[in-house]
Amino acid sequence: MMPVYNKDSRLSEPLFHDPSLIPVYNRFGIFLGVGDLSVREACEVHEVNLEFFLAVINTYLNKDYFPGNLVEEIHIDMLLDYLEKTDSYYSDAQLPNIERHFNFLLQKSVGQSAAGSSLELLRKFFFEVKEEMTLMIRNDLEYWFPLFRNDLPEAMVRIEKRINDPDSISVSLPFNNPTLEEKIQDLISFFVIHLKGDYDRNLLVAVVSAIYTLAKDVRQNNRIRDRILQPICIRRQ
Amino acid sequence: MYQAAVIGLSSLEALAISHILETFDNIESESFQDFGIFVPMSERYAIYVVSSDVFSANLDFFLPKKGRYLVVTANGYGKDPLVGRNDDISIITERLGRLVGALDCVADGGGLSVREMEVLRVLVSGKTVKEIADELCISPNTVITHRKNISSKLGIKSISGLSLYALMNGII
Repeated sequence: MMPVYNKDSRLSEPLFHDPSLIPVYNRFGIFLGVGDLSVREACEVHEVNLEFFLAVINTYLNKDYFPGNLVEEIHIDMLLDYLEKTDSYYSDAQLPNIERHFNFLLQKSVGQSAAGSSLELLRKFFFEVKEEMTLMIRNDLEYWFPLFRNDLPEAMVRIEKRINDPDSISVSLPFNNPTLEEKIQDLISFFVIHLKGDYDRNLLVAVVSAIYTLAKDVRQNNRIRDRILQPICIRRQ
Repeated sequence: MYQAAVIGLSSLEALAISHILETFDNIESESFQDFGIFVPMSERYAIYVVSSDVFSANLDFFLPKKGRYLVVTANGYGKDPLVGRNDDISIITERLGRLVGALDCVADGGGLSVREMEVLRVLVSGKTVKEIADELCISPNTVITHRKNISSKLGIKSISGLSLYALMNGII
């Protein structure tokens, strides 16, 4: 049973449970070397909204957790700032990291024709994933988030329109959008199940680990979009 | 157990082909004089032995099923997927054996059946479920079921992922 953290939990506890939370903490301006503070104390020190912080980390960690009425305490701007930092992390850190490792792996596979061509195809598939993520981030930053900030009722009208008639608005939804998760998971499946040939094993681990980390972060941040962003939008309409 | 359809051959030829087919462990066969009678039930059959007249008149049906049919002609010319009605019995048996053997042939690491590979090939061509159903003479629900099974076996859900798999494994 996954624990649900509260204001009296040690700030370090969730990090021991799942180190993938480190970038999530970073988005709140909380960095490693967290000391012995409780969550409440740390939020005071770093001027972070306590309810928002708890909603995010519990939703991120626990697939069975729903923030419920906590969303009443969350201002949409706080959440959009968090999601913008998440988007920046994908585009500035995670995607370039995967690409770099992939390129090294391919360079080391030159000379293995069948193996190299499979990897080249996988790298093209990764570029497709990267393109889709880049588009999602652009949609967030240039379309949905400004609309959420400036005209939430209009944003919800467009969301409803998009749900009822996907052809009416070409921009994909900012939540309830599993397509990207599926594609990243497919990329993992290719490496885990279908890979053929001999490769540099260390580089292979580096590539697969980086993709796996991205998959997890996207999946868990999509949960935040579905369980926090969407209810906030509906309630504030 | 796989079903084989023998279509458009004379009664004696159909009897001989069916007899040979049923010597293989996992095959049951059924004969049809007329392609029109066969079509509504075509979904049941995994392989086809067909006269050259019926084959030529129904290319739209047979060509997408490459690897799953044998065409009986006056002269086999020694090449798959043709077999000559006057060929030596050992050649006829060998050709039928290869046809049957292909049923258990699966893509590496995927475990897809012949039917699933066929559905996958059409699925990644960009056609709708209805178009796929019409092309393969199966119901739309069957297409959806095949798609779910394919995704489950391969661990791949997206169409572009399935396309990549098909490309990597020579299915397209």
